[in-house]
Amino acid sequence: MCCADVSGHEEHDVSRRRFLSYATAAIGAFIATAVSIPIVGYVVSPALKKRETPSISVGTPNDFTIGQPKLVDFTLTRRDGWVEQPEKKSVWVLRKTANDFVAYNPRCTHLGCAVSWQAASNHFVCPCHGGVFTIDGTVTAGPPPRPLDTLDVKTEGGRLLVAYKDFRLGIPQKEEA
Amino acid sequence: MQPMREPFGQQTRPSISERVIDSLDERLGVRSIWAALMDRHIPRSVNWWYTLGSATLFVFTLQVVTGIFLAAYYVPSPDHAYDSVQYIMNEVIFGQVVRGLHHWGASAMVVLVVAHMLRVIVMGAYKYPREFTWTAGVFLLLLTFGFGFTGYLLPWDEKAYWATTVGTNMAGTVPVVGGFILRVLRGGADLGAVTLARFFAFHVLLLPALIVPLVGLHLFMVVRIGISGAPDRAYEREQQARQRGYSGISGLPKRSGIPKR
Ligand code: HEM
Ligand code: FES
Repeated sequence: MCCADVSGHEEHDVSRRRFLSYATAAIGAFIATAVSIPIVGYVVSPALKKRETPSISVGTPNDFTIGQPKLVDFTLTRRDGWVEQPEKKSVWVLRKTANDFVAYNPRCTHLGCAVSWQAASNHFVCPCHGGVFTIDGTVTAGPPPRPLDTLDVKTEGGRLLVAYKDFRLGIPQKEEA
Repeated sequence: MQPMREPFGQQTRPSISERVIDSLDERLGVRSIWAALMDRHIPRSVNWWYTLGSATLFVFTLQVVTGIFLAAYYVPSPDHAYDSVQYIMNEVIFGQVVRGLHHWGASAMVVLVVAHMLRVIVMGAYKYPREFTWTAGVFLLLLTFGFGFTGYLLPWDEKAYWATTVGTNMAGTVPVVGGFILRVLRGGADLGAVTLARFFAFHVLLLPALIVPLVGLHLFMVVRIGISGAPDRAYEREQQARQRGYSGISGLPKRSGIPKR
C-alpha cells in the first residue's frame, strides 16, 4: 500500500489498486483456511478413536478357588494404525463366593506397572513405587490415587467373560483411556 | 520514514502492526524489499496467459503442504505402504481430501508447467535477456516429471507396481548403458523393497531439496529482469519500447526484452 500515492495515476486507479490488494488478501486467507481446516482434522483424527472393549473368556467358574486371585493371560489383536499386532494382556480374576466373581485390570492405578498377588501378606503389591492394595482393591499404602480398576464379568454358556478395558492412570477418577 | 504526527490535539498512535513494520523497515529496509517484489512495472500487454506460472507455483505449494502431511501416515515399505495409504483413505478424517489434493495436484502440476512453458515459447519470452530463466525452467520441468515418476510408485498398488515396471523397463532400452540404468533405478534386478525406499527418498527428500532453490532462482530472475511484454507486430512500437527500456531496473543494460523478429 505504501506507494499508492506516488504512482501518479488517477484517483480511480488508486482505489482499484486498493481493491485488488484487499481482494487478493481475502482470497488468500480463504484458501489458507480451506486448506488448514482439513489438515487440522487430518492430524488430530487418530486421537479421536476409541478403543474397542474385547470380551475375554477366562475359563469356567471351577477353574478358580474361592478367595484366591488368579492371573489369566490372553492375547489381543490390536489394530495399531494400519498394522494388526498381537498384544499380551492379563487380568486378575477373583472368585469371591461360589457365584460372585470380580476381575481387576492388573495395571497399577498410579502409573501402570503390573501388580502381583502376594499370598503371604494377602495383598496386591506394585513393584514400582510401593503401591499396596487389599484383596478388594482398596489402597492401603503407596501413591496409587484410586482402588484397582474392576472390570465387568459375566457368565455365558458356563464360561466367564471379562470385558477388558484400560483406564487413565495417575488420577483419582476411574475414566476410560 | 515516520509519518507526520498531528502536532496537537489527540495524537493518533500508529497501530501495533505498523509499529512492527516500522521497526523492521528501519533495521532491514523491508519496505523497499516489498516494493521491489510487489510494486513492479508490468507491461500493459500482459494477459491471462501470464498467470500460468503463478498457478504452477500455487499448486506446487499445495503439493508441498499436502505431501508433508501424507508423510505423517505413509510408510515406504512393501508390507505397509498399501495399508498405510488405505488407512489415510478410510480411517483418517479428511484423509481423502489431503490425498486427493496431492493426487490431482500432481497431474495439475504437470499440465500447468507444460502450459506455462508453451506460453513462454509462443510469446518468445525465452529470448534475450531471459535465457537463464528458461534454462532453470527446463530443469524445473524435468524435476516435475521426476516427482510424478517417483510418486506414482508410492501407493504400492497394482497400477503403481506395473507402471513403474514399465517406466524402468523403458530406461532399460537405452543402448549400452540401459541395463545398468535399469538396475540403478530399481536398486537391483527386480522392483521391490529397495526400489520403493529409494523412490520415496527421492520423492520427499532429494527432489524437494533440488526444486525449492531452483524455483527460488527462477522467480528471482523473473523479478529481477521484469516480465516480458507480449510480442507486438508493430515495428515502431517495438523500437520505441526498446529505446525506452525498462526504467524500473537500475544497473541492467537498457534492453526491452521484447522479442526480435
Ligand atoms: C515437495 C513436497 C512433496 C512431498 C513431501 C510429497 C510426498 C508424497 C507422499 C508421502 C506420497 C505418498 C502418499 C500417496 O501415494 O498418496 C506422495 C504421492 C505422490 N506424489 Fe508427492 N510429494 C511432494 C511433491 C510432489 C510434486 C511436486 C508432485 C508433482 C508431480 C508429486 C506427485 C505425486 C504423485 C503422482 C503421487 C502418487 C499419488 C497417488 O496416486 O496417490 N508430489 N507424495
Ligand atoms: S506404578 Fe504402582 S506404585 Fe507407581
